[in-house]
Amino acid sequence: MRKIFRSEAQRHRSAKRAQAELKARARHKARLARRPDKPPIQAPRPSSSKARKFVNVEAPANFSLVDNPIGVIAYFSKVHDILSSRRPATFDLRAVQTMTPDAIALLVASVNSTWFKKGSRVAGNKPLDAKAALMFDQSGFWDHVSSRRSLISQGEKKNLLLHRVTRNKVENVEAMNAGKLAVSHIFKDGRRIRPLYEVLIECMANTNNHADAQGKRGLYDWWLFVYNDPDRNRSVFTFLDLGVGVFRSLPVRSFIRDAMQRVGMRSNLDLLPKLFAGEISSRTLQEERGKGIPRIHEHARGGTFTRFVMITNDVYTDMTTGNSFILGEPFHGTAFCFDLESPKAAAA
Amino acid sequence: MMSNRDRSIVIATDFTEAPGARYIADGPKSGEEFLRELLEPKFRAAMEGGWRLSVDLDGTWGYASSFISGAFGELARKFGAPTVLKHLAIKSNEDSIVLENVLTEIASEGNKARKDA
Repeated sequence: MRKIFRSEAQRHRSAKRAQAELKARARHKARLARRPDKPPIQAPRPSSSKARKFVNVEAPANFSLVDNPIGVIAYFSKVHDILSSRRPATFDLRAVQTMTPDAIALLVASVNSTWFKKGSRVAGNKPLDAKAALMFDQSGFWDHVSSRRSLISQGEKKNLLLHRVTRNKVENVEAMNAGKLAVSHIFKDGRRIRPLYEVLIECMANTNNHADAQGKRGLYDWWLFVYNDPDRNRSVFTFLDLGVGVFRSLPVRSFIRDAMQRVGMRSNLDLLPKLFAGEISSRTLQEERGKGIPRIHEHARGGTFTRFVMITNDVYTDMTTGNSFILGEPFHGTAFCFDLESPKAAAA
Repeated sequence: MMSNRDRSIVIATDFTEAPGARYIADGPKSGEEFLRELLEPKFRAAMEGGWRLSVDLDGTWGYASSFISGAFGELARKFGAPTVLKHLAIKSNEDSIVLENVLTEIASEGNKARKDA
């Protein structure tokens, strides 16, 4: 996907860089011409990933992380494997029939992740299905990939999907704006929904503090997507990072090591109750006492949200229903997907 | 003469309606920033003057656990829970849970500080 520069400043920088590179090449050529002992003719370079053919990877028809986690995670894992072997890959979405915002969020996060791409190139297309294609276009996906395509005007997509990426910080204003966007869509007023705001700040803080395996702060980007469903009084939130995931974060790993020795714990599912009760980090940390995920869980169970799913490492858990299971293939990172809906609409 | 304004903090208007996380390094409007800029200076004045500082939690979008810990928990760690509770009057008409969370934080962190000492 090619990068195009939209702002004047970017174009100016790009032009200056190109000029400088041209001059440097000319100087180098002139130096070589002056040298009596010209260097030997170089052997042709081995084919780079640029010269290699793109591997087409067909996405599952149900392109939804919350509804088809196993299929979607396996899909991204397959693409990641191809890219890791230095071959370029195409996200082929043509056969997608159903698409949810969380999968688009994951797609955007992945194609913007150096860890995911491993220096290889990616390309993609959009679903042939009209409804899925419309959502894809309106999602603002094209704004977050370096593409020449921009199929829909900013005004048209303004209230449909908000994309945000920030680096290494808890962004209070972003959380507030996301809340305002959803509230204006669902309730048509300016009310404050505290659980929503608090969940968003806790998610950002969780990524900032725990997304790295060694406990270094602020290494991973987070992505926040708000999709205002045009057919319902519903906003769908996706918050994700491609860090190490909750169960591979430093405090939880330390706890797992202890627990395995003491009680023979077998699965990450066994840890969920302790994680939600805030018992894990309080045993292992001094200041960061791990109240973030317990607080998220408390709000997820509090009736504000109609659905609240956390996917991290090999665990899928719907916090609203308590339904949890182990994923066949692990998710590299942490995703929170939750729906906010007006009570009237939820009851209908 | 100390005015009512000097004896109170309304977080939404005096600090922000969108409180952030724990540390200044975490991002804007953190608990640490609130503690340094507003809470601790006014709390010290309240201690020295022998009166109670009123802190109004209403009017914001909400409080992350880390903000509460970074501001009120840290204050309790510094001065101890009894002193903090003596000179601080926390109020919230909008959200009884946040009020409870702040008071619990002060009590638990204050006790921890006493044990450490």
